[in-house]
Amino acid sequence: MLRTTHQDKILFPDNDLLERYNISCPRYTSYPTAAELSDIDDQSYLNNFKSVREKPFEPLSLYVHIPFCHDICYYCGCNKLVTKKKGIAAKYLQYLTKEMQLVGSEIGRRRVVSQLHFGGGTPTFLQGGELTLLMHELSQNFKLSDKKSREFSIEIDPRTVTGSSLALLKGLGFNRLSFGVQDFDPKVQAAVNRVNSAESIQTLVDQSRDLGFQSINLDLLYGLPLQSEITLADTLEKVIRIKPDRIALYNYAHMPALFKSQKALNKYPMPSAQEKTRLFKLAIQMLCDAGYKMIGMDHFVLEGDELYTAQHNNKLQRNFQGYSVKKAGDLIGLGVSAISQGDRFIHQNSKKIEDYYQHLDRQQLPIEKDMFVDDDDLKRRYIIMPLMTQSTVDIKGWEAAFNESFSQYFHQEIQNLSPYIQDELISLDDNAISILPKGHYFIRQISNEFDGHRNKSSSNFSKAL
Amino acid sequence: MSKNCPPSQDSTCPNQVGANCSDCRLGGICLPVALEESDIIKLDEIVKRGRILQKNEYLYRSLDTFTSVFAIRSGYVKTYQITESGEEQITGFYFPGEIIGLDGIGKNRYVNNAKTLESTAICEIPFNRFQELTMELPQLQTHFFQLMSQEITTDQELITMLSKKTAEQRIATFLLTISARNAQRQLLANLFNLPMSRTDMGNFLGLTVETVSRIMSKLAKSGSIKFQGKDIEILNITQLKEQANID
Repeated sequence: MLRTTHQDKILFPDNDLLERYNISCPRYTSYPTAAELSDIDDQSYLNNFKSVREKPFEPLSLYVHIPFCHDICYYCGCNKLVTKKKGIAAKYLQYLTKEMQLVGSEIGRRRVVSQLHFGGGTPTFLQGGELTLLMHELSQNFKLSDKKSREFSIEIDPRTVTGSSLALLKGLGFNRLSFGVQDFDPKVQAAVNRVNSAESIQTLVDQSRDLGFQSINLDLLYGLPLQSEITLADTLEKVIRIKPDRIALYNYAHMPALFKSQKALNKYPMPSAQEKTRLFKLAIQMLCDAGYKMIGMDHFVLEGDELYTAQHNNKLQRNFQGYSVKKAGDLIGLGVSAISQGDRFIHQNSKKIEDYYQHLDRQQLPIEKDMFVDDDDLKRRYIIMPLMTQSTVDIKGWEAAFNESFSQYFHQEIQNLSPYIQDELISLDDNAISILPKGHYFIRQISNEFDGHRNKSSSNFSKAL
Repeated sequence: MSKNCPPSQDSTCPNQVGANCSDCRLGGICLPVALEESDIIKLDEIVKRGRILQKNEYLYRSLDTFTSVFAIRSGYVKTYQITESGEEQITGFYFPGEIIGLDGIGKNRYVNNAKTLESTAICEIPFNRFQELTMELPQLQTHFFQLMSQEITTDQELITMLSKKTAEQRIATFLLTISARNAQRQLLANLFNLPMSRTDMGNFLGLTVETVSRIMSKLAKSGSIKFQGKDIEILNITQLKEQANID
């Protein structure tokens, strides 16, 4: 099978291509995307849980959203609540527990949770005792895996943890850590209001390794204001010295109309698509020279890391939390704004904390938006997710799965792909769609051609480049 | 009751074993620390007070059904597991005012064996009733899980220490930990007695008895500590911290 994910197989597009293909489109952490959800008008979502309950032997994935932050980071597009109020987390945990009990009674306790992710906001906003209580409640309401192969991860704001708090996380069963670094340049850090030193990250990473954490990730952003090739090279040198197992290098999407905190960055000029491409190209070169392998759209891993092995064996998965090793078919999201996803459904909890509390006060699940995934969605998901993870789609596999002709079903899409074929971004034959070296940069756009919901809400998505 | 009380080298009055939580000298570090005066009475109602165990008696055994957590009133307890090769591996030592039995919460069975090191008075807190009470008194729950998180943290730090530190660093760290725990109980931080045998200490730290004795003598010779039998005096805490490799 063709693979286009090594640095020598990525060719960087010229400005003409960049301009022609720089459209707004989703990042496809799921298909359909969360943008397709609509307000619920009945309790049909209970069927969603029923479908989860009916597969007792399959592993389950859990996401827990902790919305609180001590400080605001201006680039942030997450659902969050910046607060210094005491006791606010304790109250939230009471409601989370209530939600767990309600969800738990719908789906039962038989499915083993093989993936668990704490995201935010800032999960480490919680005190040690609060994190312990939360884990205790999770273990009371779900069957958490105690196998070494489980993927239990937590996002860490390095400014909120010490060696002792990392020890607690290990003891609570987490085995992966993701440190939000973003950038090491002092001016960029000041501009986005998130300051950490490379030394402090190095110490935390060393402590994490001593504690036995298996996979340590650093999150970085490119396309932030004041970033240049010089500052990014400096940041990457420091990152390479720290040598995390994984690096996620996300494209900063400046969308202040959607994310209010980003308005603070309006005073800076934003890098153009060409400038961002230069930054990304520099990053790929530096990271690959340092021994990292690029996987998916924006992730880099050391060769020993299991994500690399997973991609190599065509087992790489993608969900709302990014890339993962094993398939846990259904994802249950807990907490304000959290998204759940199964074969046939996607639903989302209330985005406002007051609404979330109000639902639970009435003993109702706090679900606000919902969608049914129909047959057409499934057929398109089968194309889009492999494109995002493996850069290739097995057409014969598709035809066997759905028992119909690929070229007939996607007649229009195939026509729309002709410019991509002419520009040598993809190849298409009876067996496979494959992303070519020059096309790797345009995975989102190529996937978008198979999106049955596109054009409806495109302005809510970031520019792909 | 008081006649049966064991002599204790601890300054906590052993005659107090029947005291209510509100009168207990250990209230300041035990569960009542989080509670208002009026709420302590509610805690009092569920606590089974003042059971006395002789030396080497079990509080609970590994795989026993988890029913209660215990507060140590006076005396000392060690916890241990039996390894696959059938050997005892000590996992912790517990002092007056400390809560023991938290290892059972996750799986509804105790993970460790808990055995007294000397005559020990304990208060038993049935966990079902305790959980009901925490619904009513959320601050009690917060405090309880704070204790539990400290316990988990200490465990992990111990595992890491054993994998990283030299024999001297381990023993120095161990002595400093006990000193800090004494300070927390408003006891002397620099003058205390080690309730466990050198064998148990070595077992806990992954060292032979000979090594424990040799390093103790070495630390004494360096002027960091002075000891006679189980009595320890820390003479130079700064130096001991350096020997422990603690910043």
